Formats: sequence, structure tokens, C-alpha cells
Amino acid sequence: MLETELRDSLRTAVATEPALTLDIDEVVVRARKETARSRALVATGAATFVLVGGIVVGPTVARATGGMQPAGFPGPAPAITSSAPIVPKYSSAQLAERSTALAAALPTRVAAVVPGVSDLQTHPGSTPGLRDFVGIARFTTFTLDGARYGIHFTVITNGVEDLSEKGACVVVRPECLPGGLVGDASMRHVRSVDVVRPDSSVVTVAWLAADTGGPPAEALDGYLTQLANDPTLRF
Amino acid sequence: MFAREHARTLRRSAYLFCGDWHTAEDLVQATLVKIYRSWSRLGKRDTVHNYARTVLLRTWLDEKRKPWRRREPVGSEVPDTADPTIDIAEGVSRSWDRDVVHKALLTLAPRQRAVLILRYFDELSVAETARVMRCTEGTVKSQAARGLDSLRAAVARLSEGELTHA
Repeated sequence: MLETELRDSLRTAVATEPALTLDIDEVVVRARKETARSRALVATGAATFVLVGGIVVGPTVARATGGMQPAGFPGPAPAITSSAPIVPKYSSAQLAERSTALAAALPTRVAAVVPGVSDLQTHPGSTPGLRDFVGIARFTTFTLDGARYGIHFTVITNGVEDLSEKGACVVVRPECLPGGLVGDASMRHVRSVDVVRPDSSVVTVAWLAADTGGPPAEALDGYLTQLANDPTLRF
Repeated sequence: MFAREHARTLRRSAYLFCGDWHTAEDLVQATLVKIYRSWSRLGKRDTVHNYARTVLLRTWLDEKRKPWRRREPVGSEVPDTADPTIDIAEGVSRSWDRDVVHKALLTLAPRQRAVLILRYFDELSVAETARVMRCTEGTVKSQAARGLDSLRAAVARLSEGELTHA
């Protein structure tokens, strides 16, 4: 068979093509939704990674200091493999400024939302710098009914692209580290809420506790959702 | 918009890959969604079409790995009722001539099929085909040569009435 014959035959094979039934607008809407969903998932996944990393590192520090030490989420961005480079949209000074503002607002807001807390301390969180996401994070610890708890607050400023999804996503993820930690079960239980805000940022607020005691799940979800939607706690 | 401009072209290539217009449309839809998701990372617009070909090819190869898609239909349209105005013998003969090469093409191994479609339908150079298929130019040349040989043999078999289908 000659190459020209093959060319002609292939052209002829598609000559009687039926009308295109594909709705391009629908495809674009679907693509936007999938993109938004996956970005939000990556964002919340990043926050979860930060929490788990903090839980593993934190208690080691706590043991060394002889008490329950809040997980500090130290160090740079989590080491999640990503081939895409991080594209910072803010200078480090701007990020530091916003992080400081969040740190200043967080204890007051936590005290206002969670009744009966005392001895609040806020520590640096870890910015989940994944791909082209930009975010800030802070970790607040406090005492409630004699026990120590922590709230980790993350704002990813460009978490979603599709604004039609705004405010639609409230996810509660109760988690428990399987097997706990060797010699230390501190901060083993995590319960978090993700909220997509109208400004397209994604907020993840997580409650960390040593055991399942403390406030009931409904109350926790209420606290976390309230904090996640608190306009004063923002990027 | 890219999707509007290229949906038809992509669907033709997809049809030649899989032999079914409905599957071709599904493949194009999946391809366009994937392209949308990586749009911000794509470079110049003139390379986007070849990137789309790569995505389409990989989407099709992935689909073929799914058990429920392994059998490809040769014909996609079944008429509900006979049209008395049509000379069936003449129609069958014309349709057979038109389809025999594509039918033979569908019996080839997927990557050989892809090389022939990219080279002789999409009119890509050896270098462009290699980029789309993510392989070396030498592989493209050898796959094309073997593909043409296999296609000749398949056309001969089909013309002799051996209606086997891979």
C-alpha cells in the first residue's frame, strides 16, 4: 500500500462523520468544576499533611520538654513532591505581615468562639506551599476543662478558581492516627472543617486533641465552622 | 477558543484510533477537560494542538486498558429501517471500499495504529510524531514501516474475506 493511498483512505473514512453532539460549553463548565474541586482537595490535602507532620514532630518536642507542647509545625513548606514550581504572588515580607495579623487575631477569636478556654498561645504554623498555592497557617493551643487542645488554622488564598462554588464546601473530616504515637498519644485526634470562601480562598481549621474526650463532635464542628467563616481571620 | 476550534479535528483522529464515533466523542471530551486543567502550564499556542494530540493518544491508550473497553466495535451506526431507494449492493461495495483500510487499521497494535494516523492523517513529521508519542524518532520510523507492512497484510486478509478483528 502506498502512503498516498493510506492518506486518501483515512480522509475517506472520516468523510461521513456525524454531527458533533459535544456541548463545548458543558465541557468547559465540567472542566472548571473538576479543576476547582481538585484544587480545593490539593489545598486541604496540603493542610492535612501539615497537621500529620506536626503531630509526628510535636510530641517528640513535648516529651523533651516534659509536657504537652503544641505542635509547632516547624520548618519550611511540607516536602510533598511536585514537579510544578511554586509561583509566589506575595513577597515573604507580605506573607509575614499577614501571618502576624492572623496570629494577633486568632487567640481573641478562639476565645470568643470556644467558651471556657484559657492560657492561649499562638505558634507559627507551616505554610502549605504547594504548586502555585499561597497560604498562611497558625497554631493556637489552649486549656479547656483542665486538658490541653490545639486549633490549627490555614488560609490558602488561591484555593479555588471557580467562584460559582463559593461557600458551597463545608467538609468535616474526623481523623485518628492509627496506633497513635510511640510512647505518646498526645494530639492523636484530629477533626477539621474546610470552607471555600466567596473570595476563592480555602480555609482549613483543625481541632487537635489527645483523646476523644472534650466537647462533643457537634459542638466542635460548630466552633470550627464559625472560625473558618470568621471574616477577621483571613489572609 | 481552543476547544471549539479543535474539537472536530480531535474527534476525527479519535475516531481513527478507536473506530467508533461515540467513543471518539467521549475521548475528545476527556481530552479537553485534561487540557483545560493544565492550560495555565502550557506554552505557546501553536504547540497546544500537538499537546492535545498527546493527551488524546494517552487518554485512548488508558481507555483501552480498561476491561470494558478492550473490544472495539468496527461499525457504530445501525439503521433502524431499510431505505428502499438505496441500492444495497452498490452501497455495500462503496462502503466496503471506504472502510476496508480503516477496518484493517483497527486490527493493528495500538501504537502502530497511532503512528500511522499521526503521520498520514494528521500529517505530522517524524520529529513531531515522536514528540506527541513521547518516543524516539527511530521508534517512529520503525513503527511506521512495520505498521504499513501489517496494514497491507490486513487489507489483503480483509479483501479475501477473512473478517477477523483484534
